[in-house]
Amino acid sequence: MVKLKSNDDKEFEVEEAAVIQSEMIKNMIEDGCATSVIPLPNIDSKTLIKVIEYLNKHINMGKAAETGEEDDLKEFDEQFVNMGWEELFDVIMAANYLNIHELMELCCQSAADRLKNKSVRAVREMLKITNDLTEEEEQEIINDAPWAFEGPEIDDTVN
Amino acid sequence: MDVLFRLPVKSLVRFRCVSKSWKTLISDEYFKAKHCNHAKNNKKLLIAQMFPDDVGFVHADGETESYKLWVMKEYGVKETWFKLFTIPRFFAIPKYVFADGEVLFYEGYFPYNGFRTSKGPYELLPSSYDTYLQGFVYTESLISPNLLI
Repeated sequence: MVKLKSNDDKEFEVEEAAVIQSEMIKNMIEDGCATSVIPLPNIDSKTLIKVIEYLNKHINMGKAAETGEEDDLKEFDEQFVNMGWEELFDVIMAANYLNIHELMELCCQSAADRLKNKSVRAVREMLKITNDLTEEEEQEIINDAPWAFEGPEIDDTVN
Repeated sequence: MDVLFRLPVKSLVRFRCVSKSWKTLISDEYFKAKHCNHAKNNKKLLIAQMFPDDVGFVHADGETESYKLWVMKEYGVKETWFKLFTIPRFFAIPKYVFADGEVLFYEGYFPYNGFRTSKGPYELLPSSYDTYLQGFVYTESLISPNLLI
């Protein structure tokens, strides 16, 4: 068992087989730096619970492919990314920090799918980006490729 | 950035308008190359051609009249040939494998002429499927063809 500590001082016990899906922790264990609790100053307990849920489910991924449980795992993944936008970003940050490749793939793809059809205004709002382009600069980009700003799929809602 | 290079070209061309740093990033050559690479990696090539992707071939057995589709999981590695499936009395050219394992076929032989998928005919296609002559797999890219000349 490996002990992880979130930045709000909560401790979690995780099986080693699950936690080594994180390259970062795997390296720590190999270097003998994981004998006591591993502090994770960038991750809060809410996010860490999600990450551990994913790790535990994916622990037997190789086995699942053999026994035909892939569909089950696919369904879990679909349900897993069905979370709020802010929450999804917290998980991406955590997956990036812990270096969990598959989780990073899954969450980034979900984020991309959600952004794909958004309008420029909606993207700015979703990612809290301040527009620093002048009106002329903006018009120039639009004139450059007007087709990219048209179409029935473009969605101006923020969610 | 890990999120952005998963977006289609139309979204990226639009999102240059989000802010100055997005405009710079999306116009950057490194980003364009990375985007192109990601799009390519998501493709499974079935037709035996010289691409660093999956390679496959079709094996039609005359005696049992069954059709077998093979895929080379890792290009150039003989041990990775893998039999995808067998369909009795069927002959067609595989065109594309989707992420869920469904395969798109082109049938160019009378009385069939058109596209179908491995699970069922014509599910994914526009209604006038019988008039299509050919189909190609393509990758969207931000890299302009002018740069390749």
